Amino acid sequence: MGNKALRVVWFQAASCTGCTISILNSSSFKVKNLLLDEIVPGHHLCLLFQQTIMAGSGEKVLEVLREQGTRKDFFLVVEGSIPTKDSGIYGKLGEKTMLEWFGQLASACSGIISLGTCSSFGGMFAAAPNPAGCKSVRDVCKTLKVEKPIINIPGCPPHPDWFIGTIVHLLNRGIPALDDVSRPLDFYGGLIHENCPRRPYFDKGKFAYKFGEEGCLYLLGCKGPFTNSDCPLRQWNGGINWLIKNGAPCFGCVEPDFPEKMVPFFEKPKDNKT
Amino acid sequence: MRKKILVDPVTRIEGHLKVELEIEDNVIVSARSSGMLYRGIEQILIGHDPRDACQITQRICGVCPIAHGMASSICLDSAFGISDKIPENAHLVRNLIHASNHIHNSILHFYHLAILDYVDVTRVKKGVSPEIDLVVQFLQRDEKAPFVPREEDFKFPDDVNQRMVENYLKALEMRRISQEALAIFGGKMPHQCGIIPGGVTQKLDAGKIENYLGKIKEISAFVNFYYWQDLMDLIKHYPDCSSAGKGCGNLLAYGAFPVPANGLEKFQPGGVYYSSTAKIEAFEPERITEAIEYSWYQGSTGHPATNFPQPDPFKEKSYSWLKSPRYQGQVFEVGPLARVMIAYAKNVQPWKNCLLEALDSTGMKINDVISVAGRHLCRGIECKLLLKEAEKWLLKIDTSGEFYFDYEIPQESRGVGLTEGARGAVGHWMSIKDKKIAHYQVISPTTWNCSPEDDMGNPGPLEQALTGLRLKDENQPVEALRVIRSFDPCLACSVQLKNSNKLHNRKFYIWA
Repeated sequence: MGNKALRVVWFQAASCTGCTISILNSSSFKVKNLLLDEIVPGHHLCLLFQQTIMAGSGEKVLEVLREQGTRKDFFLVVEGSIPTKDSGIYGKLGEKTMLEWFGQLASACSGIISLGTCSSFGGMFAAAPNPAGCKSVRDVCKTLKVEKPIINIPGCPPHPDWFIGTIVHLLNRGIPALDDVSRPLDFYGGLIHENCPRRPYFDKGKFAYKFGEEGCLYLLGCKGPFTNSDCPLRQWNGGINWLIKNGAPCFGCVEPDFPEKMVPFFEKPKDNKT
Repeated sequence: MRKKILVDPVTRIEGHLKVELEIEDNVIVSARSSGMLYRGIEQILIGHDPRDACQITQRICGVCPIAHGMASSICLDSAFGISDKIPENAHLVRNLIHASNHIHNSILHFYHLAILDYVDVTRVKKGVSPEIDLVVQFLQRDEKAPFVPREEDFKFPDDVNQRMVENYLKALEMRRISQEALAIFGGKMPHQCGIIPGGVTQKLDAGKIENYLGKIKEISAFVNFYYWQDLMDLIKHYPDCSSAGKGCGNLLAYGAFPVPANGLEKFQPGGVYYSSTAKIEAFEPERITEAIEYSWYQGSTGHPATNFPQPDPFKEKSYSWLKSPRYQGQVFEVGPLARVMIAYAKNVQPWKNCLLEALDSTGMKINDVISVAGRHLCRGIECKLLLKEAEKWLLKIDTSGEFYFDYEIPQESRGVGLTEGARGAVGHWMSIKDKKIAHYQVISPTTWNCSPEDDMGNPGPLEQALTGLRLKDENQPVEALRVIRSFDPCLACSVQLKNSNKLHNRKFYIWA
């Protein structure tokens, strides 16, 4: 076909599959086009391994993973953090720990997208007492001494545009400009607080004290003043809504210290954060 | 000759499931189902502000976060002593959020998780529709992932097969729209923010009601025509599915969707059903226990309100991270099949008539319902009836009324939250001390359905459903995969690990 494939292994470790579901919710770029069509002229995505949607099971699909370990021409998408406690015994796939699989795939691949906050920074399952010793992709790579380009697309879950937009940029122009925690600036370049439609309330000092009230949600726990994402502009699920529009505080889910420094979720943030 | 077949990973489910089958002359004589991941959300919850539970527990599962968002909020309502103070509007909005997630899951499960066991994506003809032309163009690629490699046992005639491929793609849109409908009240999906203890976060307006109504109508048209037609064709062309995968035959539902103006009554009734005697009983939560005989935990069998087994990946004899929930010490299946059959046995409408009509059009008997085909059928019945009911709930909302009841967090308390996730009965149990979470236990639907053997030596529902099944080709156990997927397993809730010593001593025949 004269069409070049971006070959992708989508590895799910300690995740909840929420990142997968979120990407399947993509509304501007349709999933059927992601699976079957060109992404940009001359380039398509070849989803070699994705446990939630792939047809085959068992040995057949493990063979796909093993084969990638011997070739270098694939991109690794990681969903979830990697369990590392007791040599990774808390998470297994095909009689091997997720940690072992990750080590092989990470060493072989041409680059990594850490999809979601767990993969990017550790996230929910790495929260104290971190029962399975879950770690982010970057931390595990450091331990294993694997050096690969890593793009973080955090969010619990990440917005589908953030992921597919990054793929389009990769195919079109290469690695996008990243911030100091490896997030694409195009999507994570501004504070929620700066673009929040409830900002005028904050400036006037008008706060909501209980749910359903008019006003800024800061006292109900909003983490928008120190959370970097374009949620207020892009909005969610086809632009139909987002947390603050729905009267709920931002939980700060795209930040490296989610959830540990963002809780209690429904309490005013601690002063040192602002 | 006996041999072992290992299916690991089982794909097109949520999470990490391994199934080990022992076969003799191509018949499964025993089965072991194992989850392969432990994350420890219940441990993480200890010490948190109780209200954090309704966000943290949603992260148990990104496919059905609402099941946990609802269960934890009901649990917190009860711990805060405000269960009877939740405004009627809040119940309605919670029902709408909850129903959207079930609708999304029925479509996702049938088309994107299950159907590739029956439909041949590579058998399509050009020039039929833009969707099919995309597939034809895709099939010219050298690598046809994620649709190849696969197991192959396809029985649909060409025209039905092609329609189902087309509907696989249309259903991607329909599932997305059902998530968008949810986000109208939930803020975003997955991991919505709308359901909170005390009610919901936001008052509604006419615009939101119009948005939801429009989406429900679009999904209904697809579900009532295509989904239903495809379901009927699956049952017709794969007759084996009406007898395969029966399992334990005991069915359990907690009930869900409180009918407003009467918080006690539920649109979907709870109950306990024994198919061997066709006996129906009232459900009593105190009769639930969790065994850990073959699970990687230390502790004892007990009730989730007080029992908190600790993880131990090195425990001898164990083969799963799932515990074994039992009701009165017996094995029970939960899920859409259980819910529909219990409503049928209790003579509750519209469930009973919808099931009878479906049986009429498929030629299935009531005794065939506990099967692979029956699980798919009941999931479809739920999707249809919830779409209809959602419209009624929506139009009952009084936009000028209350949506939230404010409260104080008590110093000490206990709570329980029982509801139905898309995949079946879900329960949360907690206690609060010094205004912080002191105890938290979750029993998820898949813990019931995919549980390991218990301390009485009874295998779990999936293990029983696989036993006795004949495989045509042991190298591609597609019949077993159909049984497994009919349960719609969701392993993220708690998964198993294998005993390392046992691992090295055993030899497995791995199917290729």
